[in-house]
Amino acid sequence: MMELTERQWIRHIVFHPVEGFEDLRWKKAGSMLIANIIIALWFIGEILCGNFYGQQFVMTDLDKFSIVPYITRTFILFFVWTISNWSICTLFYGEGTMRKIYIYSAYALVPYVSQLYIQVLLSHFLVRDEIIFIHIPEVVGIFWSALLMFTAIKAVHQFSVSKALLSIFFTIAVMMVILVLMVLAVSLIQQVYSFISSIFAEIEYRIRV
Amino acid sequence: MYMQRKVKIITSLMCCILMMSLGFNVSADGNNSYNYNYNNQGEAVPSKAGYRAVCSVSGNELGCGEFNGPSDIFCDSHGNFYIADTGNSRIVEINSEFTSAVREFDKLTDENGHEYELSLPQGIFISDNGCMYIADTGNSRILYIDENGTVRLCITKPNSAVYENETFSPKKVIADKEGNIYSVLNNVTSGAAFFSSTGKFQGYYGSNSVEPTSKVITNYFRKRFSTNKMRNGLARSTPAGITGFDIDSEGFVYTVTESGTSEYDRVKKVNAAGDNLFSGLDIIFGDLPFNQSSEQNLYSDVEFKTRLTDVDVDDSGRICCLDTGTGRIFQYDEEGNLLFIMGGMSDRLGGFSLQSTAVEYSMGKIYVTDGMKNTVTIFEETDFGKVVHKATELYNDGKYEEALEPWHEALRHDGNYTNAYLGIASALISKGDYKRAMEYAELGDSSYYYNKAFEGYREEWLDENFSVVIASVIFIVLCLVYRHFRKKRKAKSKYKIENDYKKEKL
Repeated sequence: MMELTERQWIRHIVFHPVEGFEDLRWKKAGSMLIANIIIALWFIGEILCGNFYGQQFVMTDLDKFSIVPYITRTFILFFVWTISNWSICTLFYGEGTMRKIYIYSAYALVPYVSQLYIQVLLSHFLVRDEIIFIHIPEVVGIFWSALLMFTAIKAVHQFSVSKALLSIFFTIAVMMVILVLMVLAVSLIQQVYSFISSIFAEIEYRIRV
Repeated sequence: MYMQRKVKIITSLMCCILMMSLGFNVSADGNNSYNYNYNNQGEAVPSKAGYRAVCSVSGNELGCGEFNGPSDIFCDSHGNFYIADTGNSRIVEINSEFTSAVREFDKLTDENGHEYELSLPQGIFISDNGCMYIADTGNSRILYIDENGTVRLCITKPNSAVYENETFSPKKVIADKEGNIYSVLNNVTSGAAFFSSTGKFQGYYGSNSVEPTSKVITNYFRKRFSTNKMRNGLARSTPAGITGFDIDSEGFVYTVTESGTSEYDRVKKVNAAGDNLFSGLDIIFGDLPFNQSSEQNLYSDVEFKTRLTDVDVDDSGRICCLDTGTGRIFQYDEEGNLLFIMGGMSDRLGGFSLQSTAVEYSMGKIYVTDGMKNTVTIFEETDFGKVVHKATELYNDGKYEEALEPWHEALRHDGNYTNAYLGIASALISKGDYKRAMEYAELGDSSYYYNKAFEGYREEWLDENFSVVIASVIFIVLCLVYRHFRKKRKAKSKYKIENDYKKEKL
């Protein structure tokens, strides 16, 4: 039973939200490559959503495009999620490895990512009165992904429902802590950098004069 | 000898260059610099002037002696001007060409021969039938003078239970067609005092509301849990009192509030019931809040506070607001769209001191009094201003297609003028040229008009390509159905083969 290729696995997981990840774990399937592709597609989807939306809904100014917020919103957010989930769940005696958490979480994002593309596509055909047809896939995609994310965490660590919920709650808390520390670290590094560069400027000036 | 000559030549050359550069600096005209307007994204962009300061008139030039802190100016239905010359305690009437003073009022008498001497009058209003209303601030009274110059009514501090204030100092006064008198009072936050035509105090009109900021809301909850003593220490949430107003020909009152801290209720259009008709529109009057990504600091000083102090409406419905904080005048059309920004803080012609006090807009000219320079500055429409006014008038009357030509003309003057792009876009929509309307909506940065144009464009496209669309839909459905059945058949045959295999094994 269940001799599926990696691509068929994605379909199986998305359309079997309750036991899909359990099957995946049982069969020891799941590929890093596909997970990376999903994350990359997410990144591209967010950019499309932010800049190539139908102009009847929002006017975008490509002159002001900056890639940094999109990187934080996708890559950094996802890595922080993986790391904090791993660090919390080892304390909770979850059995998932970092690699597995990464793959399972990425698979759970599939409905959300496809929703981004559907949104962008529809926004070029619909007008403002029909915005409900954009909202429906958006809401469905978000809730679907949330459900998948929950079952993914539950399956990867072999948690009970309540434990999985608790671990997700703590994961989000830890994510906040990590992000705050990151902001702190970045500003500290900036200060150290400016300090060192001013010292160098001073030395250079003294040598020259 | 030779060396000396060389030095001489060089110095004279340098002097020449220096003088030339100085000359260029001097020739930079105060009228043409710093003209800006806001685009649809709230950024300040360079713009062409819609108004030009033509002259600045002092009291001596009018032949009535220098003004001393004039604080109000009004133009009556005959085109004559009245200036409340506060410091000299008089009202000056000026002819319609604004070249000489006609009359001066400092003492008025009623029918019994009782004399009323003016003291620091701050507000003046003339009704359509020539009756004069003076806010006689120094004497704490409002005077109503009929067309013959006799005082008919003198309103002093009302003895009503509703009137809670200790003082009564009217600042501005207006009257509607029924003869009801409205007056802005100093230190009163409940709105303008409202008197009947017989001078009876009726209550307040057009009061502002408190902006529901987070601080106000937390204070509200904190008050529920605190003692009376603590409550006294908390900031009270009182709305800002209105500072100026005007009435238009249809009887709507426009109020303006000089609050430097909030954009809320800055300019209101109040109907007879006291409702603000501008509250539904999403406009901020005056300068837009500083936005870091915009180039606003290029055109306005980095540090400024908008303090709208006076408003004036003319018969066309255009609204002029005067901002004392920056000395700028903002002109809006009747829908509240920003047309032009003029003025500024400077000593040149067309600039104002810290105390620009009142604005009057009549017959296409804008008159602004300056309480420190003691002058009246007159602005005239430029060609660009004329074109834009013509276009907005046609546009607001719903004559979109007639407005097309003036809008194009306006764009030839100023390619940054957003209203023109939107005007052209909506004209093209009503004409049915959706493709080009989409282009103009994009140029004007308005997704609202783009949406309208796109809707029409899509409909047109579907009408043209209906057969192709339907054919492709049918084709896709057929493909899906075929695939579905083929899969089923495959699965069936696979099942059959497996069964046969099992049977063989058995």
